[in-house]
Amino acid sequence: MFRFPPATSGIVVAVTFLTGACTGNISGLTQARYVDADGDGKDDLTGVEIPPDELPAANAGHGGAAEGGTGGTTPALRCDLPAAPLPAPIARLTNQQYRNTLSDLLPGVTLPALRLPTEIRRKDGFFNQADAQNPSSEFLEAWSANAEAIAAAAVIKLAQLVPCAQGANQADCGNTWVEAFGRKAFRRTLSTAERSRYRKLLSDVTITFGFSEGIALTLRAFLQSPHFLYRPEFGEPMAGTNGRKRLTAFELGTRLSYFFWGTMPDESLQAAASSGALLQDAMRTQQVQRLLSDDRARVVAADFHEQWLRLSRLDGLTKRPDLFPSFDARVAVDLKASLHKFLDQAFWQQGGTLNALLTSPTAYVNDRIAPFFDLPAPGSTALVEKQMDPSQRLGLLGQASLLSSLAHADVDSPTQRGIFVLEHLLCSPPPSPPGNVNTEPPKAVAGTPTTTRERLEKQHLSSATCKACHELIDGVGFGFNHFDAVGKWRTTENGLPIDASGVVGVGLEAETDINGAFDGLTALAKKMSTSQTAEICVGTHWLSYARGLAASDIDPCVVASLLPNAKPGHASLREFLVAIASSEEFLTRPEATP
Amino acid sequence: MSLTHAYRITQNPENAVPHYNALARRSLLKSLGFAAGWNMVGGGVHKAKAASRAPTRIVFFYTENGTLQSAWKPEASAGKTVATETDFQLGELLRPALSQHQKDLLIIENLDMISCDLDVTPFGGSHQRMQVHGLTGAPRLRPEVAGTPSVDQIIGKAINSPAAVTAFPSLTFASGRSYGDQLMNWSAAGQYLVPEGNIMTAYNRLVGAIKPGASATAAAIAAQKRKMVYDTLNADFGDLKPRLSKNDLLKVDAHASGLADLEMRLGLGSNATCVAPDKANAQAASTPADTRAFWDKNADAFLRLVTTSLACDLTRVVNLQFGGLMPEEITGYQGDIHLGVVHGVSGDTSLAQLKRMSGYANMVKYHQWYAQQFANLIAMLKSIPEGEPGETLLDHTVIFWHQNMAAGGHDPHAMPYVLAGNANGFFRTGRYIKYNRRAATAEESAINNLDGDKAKAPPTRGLPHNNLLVSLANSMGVPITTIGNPKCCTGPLPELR
Repeated sequence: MFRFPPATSGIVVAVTFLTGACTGNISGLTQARYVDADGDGKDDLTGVEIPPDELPAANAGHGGAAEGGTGGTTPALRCDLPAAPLPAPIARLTNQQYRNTLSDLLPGVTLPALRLPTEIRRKDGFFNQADAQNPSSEFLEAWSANAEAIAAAAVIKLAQLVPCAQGANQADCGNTWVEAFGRKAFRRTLSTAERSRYRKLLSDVTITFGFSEGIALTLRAFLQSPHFLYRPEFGEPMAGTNGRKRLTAFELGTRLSYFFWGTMPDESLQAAASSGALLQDAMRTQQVQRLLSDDRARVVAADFHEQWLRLSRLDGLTKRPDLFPSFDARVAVDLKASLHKFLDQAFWQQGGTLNALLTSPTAYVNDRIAPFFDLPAPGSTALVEKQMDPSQRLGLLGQASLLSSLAHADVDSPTQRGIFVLEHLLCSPPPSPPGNVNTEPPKAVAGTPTTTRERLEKQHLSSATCKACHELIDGVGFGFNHFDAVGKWRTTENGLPIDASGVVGVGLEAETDINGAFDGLTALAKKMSTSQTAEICVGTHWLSYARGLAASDIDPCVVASLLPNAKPGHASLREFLVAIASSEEFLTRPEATP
Repeated sequence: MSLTHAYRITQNPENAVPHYNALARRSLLKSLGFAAGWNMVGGGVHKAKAASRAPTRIVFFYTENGTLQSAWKPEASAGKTVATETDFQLGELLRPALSQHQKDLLIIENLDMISCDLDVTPFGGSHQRMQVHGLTGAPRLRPEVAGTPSVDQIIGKAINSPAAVTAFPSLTFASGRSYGDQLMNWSAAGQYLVPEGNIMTAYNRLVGAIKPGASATAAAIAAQKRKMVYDTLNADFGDLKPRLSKNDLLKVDAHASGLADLEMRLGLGSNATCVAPDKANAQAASTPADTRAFWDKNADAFLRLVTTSLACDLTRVVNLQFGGLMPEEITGYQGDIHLGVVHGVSGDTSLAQLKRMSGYANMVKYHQWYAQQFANLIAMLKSIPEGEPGETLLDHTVIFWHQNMAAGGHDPHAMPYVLAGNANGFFRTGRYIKYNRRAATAEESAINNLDGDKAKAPPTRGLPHNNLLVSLANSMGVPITTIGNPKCCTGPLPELR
């Protein structure tokens, strides 16, 4: 039985679900609230005493409310109870991993343009999730065409690809190459059957079409083999576990490499796997540190950020040219690069904490985009580091790039901004609006100046249907009211003063550590930057990305147990990734069900 | 070939083959050089010209979010009081672009997605739910996941069995945005096809299959090499499969059988008259911009790919889906009229009511833009001579314009379906077919159909849309008599023939 964390740890995370009026089609919304690892009835990280009625009845010794919780909350999740075992479905290389892997597998070869069919993902998921990886005919065709083109390109420099000393027997050289190349392509030693199968292919083709074509066709087979395109894991029996198997050293090396680098293991990792040393904690820790300190890990973190925050929303972003004449296509490109640079420095340079992400005053600007951050032009076409006015803007939420992408072409959108925070930072995505309601942003009436807030409040609060969710959504989103549709600061709108007061958690019947009123973006950013709810939410996104699985209800428990001990918002997410890679779940897999 | 003549071919007793049993018919078709099931429709075979007849093709042309029904419906011709089967003019949405093609159209009114009414699977996204039902007509596996294959895939598979006849069993393209959300093509339960929305990726895939001047010897050598590679891969799959869990095995099995299919398909190229589409045209439509001019270009480039894939006989089944385009992008209107106007209307909103709504004129322009794309495709297919003198590609094709809902209120009843082209004389076009409506049964009314609001579901039902899916399969020579949920499928629609 899969248990996470081990039953002895006594960790309890009371998890409540978003309930109240805005429940719609929501499923799986989790709000991790308190962590009580030592079972003393106090939140370990804040020292706040957990009210007895917030604890689950099943948790003997803690007392507590009846199953079902209070005030409409669903039962709290006990992290020390056995959870349903998570599946570990066979993973396929994503397009990005496939491309990276081919580059690393054939370093001397100029790769042709690759055919990469469109990938899809769940609404809240990542491309690496197995359930989104359907082997459609497009992919099969693309892999076949790519393999053929790559093989043709690779054999142009045959002597480089298949070294063969002067006078050596070409067939012997070919056989040696099959062994060595196969080990890299399959990320493990070839089985006896595979070795002879691929050697036979090489020799059969060589007899009819010559050695060069033999290598080309053998390459084509390697690059379309399920052992290359997928990452099959079978594990090996391990003493003391019930129903789980330890990954083999090669499988672990592959998991580590794709998690931290998005590509195949390099020679060092393969060597550690080959000798079995990787199964020892010391060697694994050493390898993890090495992987994490390499630039390839930054590329993976950037991919995570891109997917987690759905930054494709910045691609091709346009604004109404009559209202924002300087916002052109190049601005959109620069804004996206600026946002990635910000996320990169927050993760790698500024401690990699939620706190840094939400409160760093840094921005990266050039002459083109500085005005959108209300900064003077730095006299540079390249992006340079500048400090934003910390009384107006902080962190991720203060980036003009993000603010302009969460807006309409003409006006700002408190709704989009509120949903962004709820979905990505608090893991409480509101449901889609009912299809049959008018969700057109209300228009200003000529001659009667109004603010976006006034118009939205009138529309959303006048109907019970709208109000149910929009009190929650707009309550957060109104906090951004000082920022217009391109992310610039304003003190008035249509001559009227700005009201940026907001509230988090309307309609959430359960108390969380971020519920309550705030005024303006910086207050919201600071509030969330020390929030355990937000920290665990970010952690669950990383965990989902690391696993290649959709989020599950137990994730907050897992994250809570793996986050480094620090006050809320101050745990290093980089250390958290290391903890994931050292966790029992990462090092083992469930028995395959026949 | 006139349409009435085409119709008569299948009906004329002199030309019709007596009702053989299935086996005998298959033998006959084999002896005529056809794959099993090919051109075997409605108990008749196009005997006279069967051997030389151009193959029948089908295009699933999809636009989303429903129409403005009272502006979509045909109207009485000038000077007349009612629209009849053969005497009518197109409604305001279709008229400007399509009246010149009226004799090639079948306007079908009062088919309902009754399969939605009978589907007890949890609701899920209201758009996605109906996207799944659109071409399956069957209960879903999960809220946004089909439990059965869609009709386009059934057709593609049937006409490529037992051996592949075209390089692609089917193709699925998407113009517009958010195409990853539109999953309506399913090869099996839970196995979707992602529409290709990148014009250059789609272009390169298609052009890659056009192999002009390849000699028979070269083709044989290529096939020999492929076999050596694929034999090796099959052995790899053979090693892997016994060790997998049940779910993983489903996926890996699909991969392995897809590979076997691919080995065959890669040997098939285009027909002799094939001309690759203009690359510059596709490239010009590859950098997205939020402008009408861009979407015009993008749609045009995809329509050219559709036309090429059919004209070259690279496939006989194509899906083209338009998705995610907002009315303001098409009409230049500043404001979100899709959500503003469309969601405000339902099937019983009258034309007079519609016309009073602000934004109506722009919404009309939006729908007319789609009708224009549909007309452009008809014109492209008509521009390709094929078969007998005077015939064109359109004579051997049926284009099925389908949607995920009937009107903006997420109503899957009274779907606005249009067919163009007679599919080698299978359909009798130039007509307006209006089916009767009847009272909804208790079972049909039991499900909270419209966004969970039972009260909003209409009190009447037309015929199940599954019947049309059966007719479409039959027109492609796939002799099915039912599809999807058998409770809402009573067989093909004879009125269309």
